[in-house]
Amino acid sequence: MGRAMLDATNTQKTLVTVRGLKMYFPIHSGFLRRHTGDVKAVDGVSFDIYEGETLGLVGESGCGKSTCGRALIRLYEVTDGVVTINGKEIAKANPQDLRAMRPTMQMVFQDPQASLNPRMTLASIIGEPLIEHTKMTKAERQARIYELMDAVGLNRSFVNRYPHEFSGGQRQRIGIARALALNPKFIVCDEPIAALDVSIQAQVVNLLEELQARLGLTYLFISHDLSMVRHIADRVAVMYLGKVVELGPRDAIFADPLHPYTEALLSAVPEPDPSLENTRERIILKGDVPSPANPPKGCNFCTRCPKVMEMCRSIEPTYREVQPGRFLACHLYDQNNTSAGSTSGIEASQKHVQQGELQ
Amino acid sequence: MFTYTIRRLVLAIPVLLLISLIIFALLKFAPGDPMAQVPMTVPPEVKAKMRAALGADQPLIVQYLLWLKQFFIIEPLHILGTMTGYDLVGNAQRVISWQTRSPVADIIAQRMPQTLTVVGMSYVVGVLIALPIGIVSAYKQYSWFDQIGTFVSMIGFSVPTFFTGVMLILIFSVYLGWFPSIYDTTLVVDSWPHFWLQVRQMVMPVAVLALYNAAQISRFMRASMLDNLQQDYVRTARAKGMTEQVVVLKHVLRNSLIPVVTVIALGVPQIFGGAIITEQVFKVNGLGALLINAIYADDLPMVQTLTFIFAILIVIFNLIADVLYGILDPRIRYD
Amino acid sequence: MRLTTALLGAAAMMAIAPAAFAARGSDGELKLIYWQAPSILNPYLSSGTKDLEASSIVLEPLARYTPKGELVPYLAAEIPTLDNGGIAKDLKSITWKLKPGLKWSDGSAVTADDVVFTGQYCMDPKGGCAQLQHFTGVDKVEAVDPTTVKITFKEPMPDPYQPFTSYENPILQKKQFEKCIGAAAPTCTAANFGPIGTGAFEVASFKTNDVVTFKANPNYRDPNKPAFSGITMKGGGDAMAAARAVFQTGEFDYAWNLQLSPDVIKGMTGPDAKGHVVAAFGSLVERLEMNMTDPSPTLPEGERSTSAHPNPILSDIRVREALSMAIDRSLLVQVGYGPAGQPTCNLVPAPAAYADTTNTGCLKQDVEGAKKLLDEAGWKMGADGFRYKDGKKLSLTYQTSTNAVRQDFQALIKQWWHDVGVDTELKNINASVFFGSDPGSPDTFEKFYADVEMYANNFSGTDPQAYMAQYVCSQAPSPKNQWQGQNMNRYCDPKYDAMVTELGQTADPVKRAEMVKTMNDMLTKDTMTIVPLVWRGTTSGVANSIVGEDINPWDSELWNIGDWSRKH
Repeated sequence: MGRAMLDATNTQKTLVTVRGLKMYFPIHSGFLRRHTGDVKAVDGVSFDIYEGETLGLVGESGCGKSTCGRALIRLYEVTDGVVTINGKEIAKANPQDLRAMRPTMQMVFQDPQASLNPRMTLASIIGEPLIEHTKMTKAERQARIYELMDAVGLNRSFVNRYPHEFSGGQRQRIGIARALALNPKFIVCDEPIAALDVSIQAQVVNLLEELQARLGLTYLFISHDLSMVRHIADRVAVMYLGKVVELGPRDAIFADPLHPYTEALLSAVPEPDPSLENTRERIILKGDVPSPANPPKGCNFCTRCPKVMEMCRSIEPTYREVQPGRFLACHLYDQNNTSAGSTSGIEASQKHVQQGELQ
Repeated sequence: MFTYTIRRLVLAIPVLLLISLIIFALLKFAPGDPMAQVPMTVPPEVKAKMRAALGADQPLIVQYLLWLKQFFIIEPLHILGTMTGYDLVGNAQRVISWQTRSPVADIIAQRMPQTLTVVGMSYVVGVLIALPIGIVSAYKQYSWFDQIGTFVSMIGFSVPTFFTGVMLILIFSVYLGWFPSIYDTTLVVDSWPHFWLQVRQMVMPVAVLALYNAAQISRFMRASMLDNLQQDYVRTARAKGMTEQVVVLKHVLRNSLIPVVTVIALGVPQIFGGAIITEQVFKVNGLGALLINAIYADDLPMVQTLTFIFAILIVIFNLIADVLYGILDPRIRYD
Repeated sequence: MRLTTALLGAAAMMAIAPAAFAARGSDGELKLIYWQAPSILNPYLSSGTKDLEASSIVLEPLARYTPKGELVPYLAAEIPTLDNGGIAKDLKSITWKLKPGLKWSDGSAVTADDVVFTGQYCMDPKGGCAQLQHFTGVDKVEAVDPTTVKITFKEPMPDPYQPFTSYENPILQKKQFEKCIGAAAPTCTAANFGPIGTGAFEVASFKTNDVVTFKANPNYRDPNKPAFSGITMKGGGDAMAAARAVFQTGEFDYAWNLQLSPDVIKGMTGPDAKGHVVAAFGSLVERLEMNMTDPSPTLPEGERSTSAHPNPILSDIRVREALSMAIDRSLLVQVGYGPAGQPTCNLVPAPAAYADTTNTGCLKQDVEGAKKLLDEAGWKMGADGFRYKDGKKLSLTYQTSTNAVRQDFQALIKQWWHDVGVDTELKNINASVFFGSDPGSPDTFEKFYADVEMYANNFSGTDPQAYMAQYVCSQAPSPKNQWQGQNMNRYCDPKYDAMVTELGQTADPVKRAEMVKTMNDMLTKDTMTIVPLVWRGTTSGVANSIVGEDINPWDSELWNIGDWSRKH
């Protein structure tokens, strides 16, 4: 099944290409507020997103996943890197061109309350981008607004209400309707359900899936909720301290995490099957996440990695495709890593064997 | 909203009555004598007779009730009378200033124009300066512009107007001779040269007060803008592909203005209160100068009437600020 | 329209008149700055000098005193005397004759009726007239004929020149004020703000406590005057700003009452200054008043500071004298008043005829003499630098109004007294309370709940009779008179009382002057009841271009404003 899926993905058209994306936030300090350093929120991230798929982006809070999502559609001025969406360069486009590309890419935000302008009615929130980017008449616009409201399951009579008059789930529906207004191809869903009640979460996720199926949308689904990602994503990328450490098909990742961090992360996910749940071993990571302003030398994860090797502390692992469709940045799977410590080398080879068995 | 406004207004009546009684009692029990300025060569018997002629020797409650009657019945009737042309008041005594023996309302009406032109203009100028400074300062937080703005606001806040006023006079009147140091209240603007004179004599007092007002309001504007610039809905607006102009001026500014507008509304009674110090420095002789002069002269009816009018204005503008908030911010509803 | 006609008339006159005379209105506008702005232009309802000064531009009395202290006729044709029969032999009446052909600024004739009315206006019991003291002893004022007024007194009046002889009680127009008599006085706002007068100018507009404008009186009796076509009298701000407007920016021609510290005046009147300072010395004397009674707070209310208890320390004249000797008056002048003060030992320093020029003993500070006197009085120096007698410390309370100069004086005097072993406790009280004569307040200068107090006082006009009469026994403030007397010291000497009575019956000017000098000495150097410090003048600033200004301590500073002109 994995093979089939991999084949399928390979034949799919790439919609979003990210290469070497960096998002640094400068730190100013001292009396003259000199530039004394950077918070490396996103530090050289590369991946592709295929048309029609959902890429889940997971990681601990503060790892840079939201920043990555925002930088991707240029809500930040990116420090470096190349992003193309639907064949167009985003990261360095000039403001006019960028605005012309906006309809293609949209975002659904985490906090539906804060992300909606409190002084605008539902109609103007959804309608505003239509005025900016289309030449619709008022009536056409009105029709489109109703159409979108129907699509996300909002009662048409709510059209002149303000955001504060809605419940959280309804607000997120407004946020989705607004994002859909311009027929985007690509939507960044930045923790869209994190602020909602559990009972509402499923409704919103189902809505997102349904819309994807109907409109052929492509999602980057950012979440810290691994079970939800497992449910919705086709492929999963794992971020740690500004870098993607592992990326691969959902089932493969969940079944066989390669990176020690992914492994640790997934060990925290409760198993639906009680028999498996009992045997589940949690890997508790020691220590805190290092400051993104001052990341450790070598591998970012070396300070907490249970399988750390000597070379991890000095050499940064390269991010590369270790198996078809599976990308990884870890010295454990380094083919040329024979010179590294023998213990770790053995461990690594054992891992390979295990993987082989599974396949 | 309407019933809310009416309810607030009705509730304001007993509050204002209480305020008037408190002001009256405070003034009455404060040490002082309307005859203190009479030269000592005037014998005490004469002073006693003068005091009696003013009614200043009556018991407190009688004086208060008389003032109430004069303020709430006779003065409104007089205003109505002047508007309609009928004499509704007859011989009834209006609120009379002890110091000048003329109706307090007439003097206030006489002082109003110069206070409104100078202090009002300075408020308008202050607001017009403050808003763009606050917006740009917040949008470019920590830029040179923001740093300079912060510094100027600090000066506006901390340097007293009597200092800036006298500095301006020394520089622009004494050494450069550009502007008059004394405001001419008899100037009638009926021609371009007179208009030019009016502008020249307003420049310094308006500048001094505008600096002070702008310092306050620009800080409010900046803080409010900063609050809103961090909000997610700004990111939403950018994601919608709005121009920066629309994002800042439509989304951020409109939301940021809500608290600023109410602060501006709450500041309006200060205009009517005049600017005691600045009016003194430039001899504008508006309501501020009138009040301080009346306090010095223990002119009780004048002080009482002025402070009470200020109290009414403060109550009204508080209400206006609240109502404005309700109109501007859809999240707030009074019902 | 009328002004235009007047100006045309003036222009026509100029063609005929000799070139030496300036024509009416030819010098443009005169700008006066009175930092205390006029509140009202009716001197009979006025509460301050600022108002009297402003009204003196418009309203004139029958006669007034020149800066030299001489009485000269204004609306009167001549000064009535015993010799010309204007004053009755029994001193019970005076008869004034008006100048012929006098006109109010509205063109109507000035008659004796106007003078009679003015008297009635002020003497009305319900009017609260501020100038009532000028009519003390007046029985009636009547018109003998249209230009003759006879004032009859209840008692013989040795000084009958009280009514209608100063800017404090000028003549009002009957027609204008007829309906404003008595209780109706305050309701006549228009008249109070714009009285019709006979002076060189008439009121053009009045904004109370702000600005008054005047224009030349077209019916003024001297056709060539005034030289100015109008006056702007601006008020507001402070003395400093007023001085600046005359000396530095030159925006104004005259600044009244520059109560500024000597340094400030000096700084603004350098060689480049656009104006100069003028000073007038009247009868204002800053003095220490010694309380002859005991102000101790341990006494019951009603007995405190009354003749029931003599002052335990100050009753001894040697102590009072020592306190005076310890003071360096020249330094006080230098510190506090500069050109506006002179050291003095007299209660009556002017007019010249009444001033005792031989009373100069206090002018030199004598610390050793003071110590000796205190030793003699039995106050022995203690180890702490203060004197004691019978275990009681020589300690005094010393109060005055809150005022920067007065607090400087207090500090200096406290130091000097400390030098001779006297402990002083200082107190200052807000002026409106201190001078407020509220019987309920313990802090009035009349209640005098202290051993020593300092303030300044003077007499109006040139005759000190009423002033001297304040120090009779019955004028001591006490609960009996609701603390309203003016004999703050509670000084009581039957001999002095007798002299006051005698002065009231003496008409001969030379004899009167001698008596006043004696009484002055009784209060000052003989008993040290009153310890004069500084003879205070008033200073004003005048632009260098103004000619004819002649500052007058006995009348308005603008008394001769019709004679002012501008140097070209």
